[in-house]
Amino acid sequence: MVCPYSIAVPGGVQAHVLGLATGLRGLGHQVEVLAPAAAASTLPEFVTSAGRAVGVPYNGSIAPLAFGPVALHRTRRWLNDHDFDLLHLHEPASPSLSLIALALADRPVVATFHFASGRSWALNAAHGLLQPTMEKITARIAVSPLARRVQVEYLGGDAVEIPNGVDVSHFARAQPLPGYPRIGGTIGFVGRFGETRKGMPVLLAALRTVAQTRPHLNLLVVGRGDAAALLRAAGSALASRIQVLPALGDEGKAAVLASVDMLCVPAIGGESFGIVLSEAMAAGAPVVASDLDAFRRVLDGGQAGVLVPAGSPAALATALDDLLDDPGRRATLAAAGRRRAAMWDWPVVARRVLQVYETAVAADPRRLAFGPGAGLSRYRPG
Amino acid sequence: MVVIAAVLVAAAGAVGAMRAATRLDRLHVRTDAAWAALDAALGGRAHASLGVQGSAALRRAADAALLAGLDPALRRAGRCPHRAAAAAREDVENELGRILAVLDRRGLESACADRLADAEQRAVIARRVYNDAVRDTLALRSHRMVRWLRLAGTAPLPRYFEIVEPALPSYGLELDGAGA
Repeated sequence: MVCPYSIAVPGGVQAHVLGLATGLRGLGHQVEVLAPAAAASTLPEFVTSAGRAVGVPYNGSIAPLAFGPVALHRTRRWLNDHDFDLLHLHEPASPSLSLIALALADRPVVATFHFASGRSWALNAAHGLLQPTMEKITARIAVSPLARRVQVEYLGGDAVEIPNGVDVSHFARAQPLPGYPRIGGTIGFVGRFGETRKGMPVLLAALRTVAQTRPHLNLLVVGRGDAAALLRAAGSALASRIQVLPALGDEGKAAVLASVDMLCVPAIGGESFGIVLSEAMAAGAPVVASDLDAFRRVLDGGQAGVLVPAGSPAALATALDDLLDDPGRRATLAAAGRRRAAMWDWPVVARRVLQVYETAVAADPRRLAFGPGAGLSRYRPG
Repeated sequence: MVVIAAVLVAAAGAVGAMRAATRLDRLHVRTDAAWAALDAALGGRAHASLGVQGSAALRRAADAALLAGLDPALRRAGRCPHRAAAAAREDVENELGRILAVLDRRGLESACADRLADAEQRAVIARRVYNDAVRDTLALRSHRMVRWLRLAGTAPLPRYFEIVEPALPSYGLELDGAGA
């Protein structure tokens, strides 16, 4: 399995790769991961580092990618050192390890597409150039219908939809941070709060209204970003209500989700799945999220969480107000969220991915020599 | 001067044509292998359907699908241009799919229902894998150079395998009007 983004930096794709690899290993399969990582970072035993990543602005974020001769050399060595049944490449259209591995691949390739923004200079410009390489992909997975639509419309392929997984039991058993839950209520925000598309300005504007009538309401923020700038943007009235924690590992994130009365996800666009929503649901935190396609689906059209128009502080303020006043509804939403989160548990998701792997192996030209159908009986997972 | 230029252009063209021919060969092989996988997955679906007790229509449709998978003419249907044979195979699989779509699964033994659902999902995945291979192959074969130089030789044009897809279990991912 190849991850194009630095494994040392927290992110959706990285978490997906590690979660899936762990899930598959739990089912008894051998999985090796190749990813960029800084020399000093400690990695799980099944991860091989392909060298340092370079931050590149991509899709409105800074993507820690790896390319160049070192990455090429390490990828080649990694492929030669292992006799894989198949390669699973994540985000192969991004200029990083996955693309290198695809160019070198000589066996069935499963590719997972996470990216869901339609208008991308990279995709459009690269399509013609990459086509000969992309032709080597045997089977494609999209983590959301949006990602699948990008496939169909921009990359000329179809894909099987398999959602992001969540380590449900890990989030379900998380304990709150010391001092939580707090009287007066706590709203949570998880993610890179400095990025406008994550919607922090909307949340701050909404909080200015909500906080007026609630002297003890708090905002607990966890994620990467400039905390001082956030507090400045919040202004003197709000700053004292905001607690910013640095980006934590999964452990810390679970504790935060267990501590808050609700999670607010006010993103204004560019979201493919919204993994943090499903994590909050697994942890039993009610979710108030922007009414984006991706979020609407995760929240079952609003059955398992509250949806508000994206980018509207007034609507968000009303929704937060209502939910803060209604513990019964919070409990109902939390229960609905937990039920729904079960379908994203990694073992469930990993089994679906295995079906794709087995189909890709069955469609391996090297098996044609045995005659059609012979491949199935010979194939042993693992 | 003119001669050198002409030689260079011809050389570049030859390299391009060889590249395209290599790609095309790889794509034909990929398509054939994907068809073999789809053929097997469809057979698996028919086989799993036979495990369902109590529906005569389902048994008939599954038998027909299994027979189609054994018939040499229909078996090749996906990768040969004989419209009639391909359409016949699609019809048989569609009929089975139609009965499976309305099958009441609540009464089924859970192992049998799981096996059937698994086989159906595999058929969907295999069809996408196959149609992807067809799409890439057709895209390259429509290139002017490939057509003019007849780089495909006598290989038949591959054909999409079009059957109605069963509704997969909902993962909260359905999107109205999305996809193809």
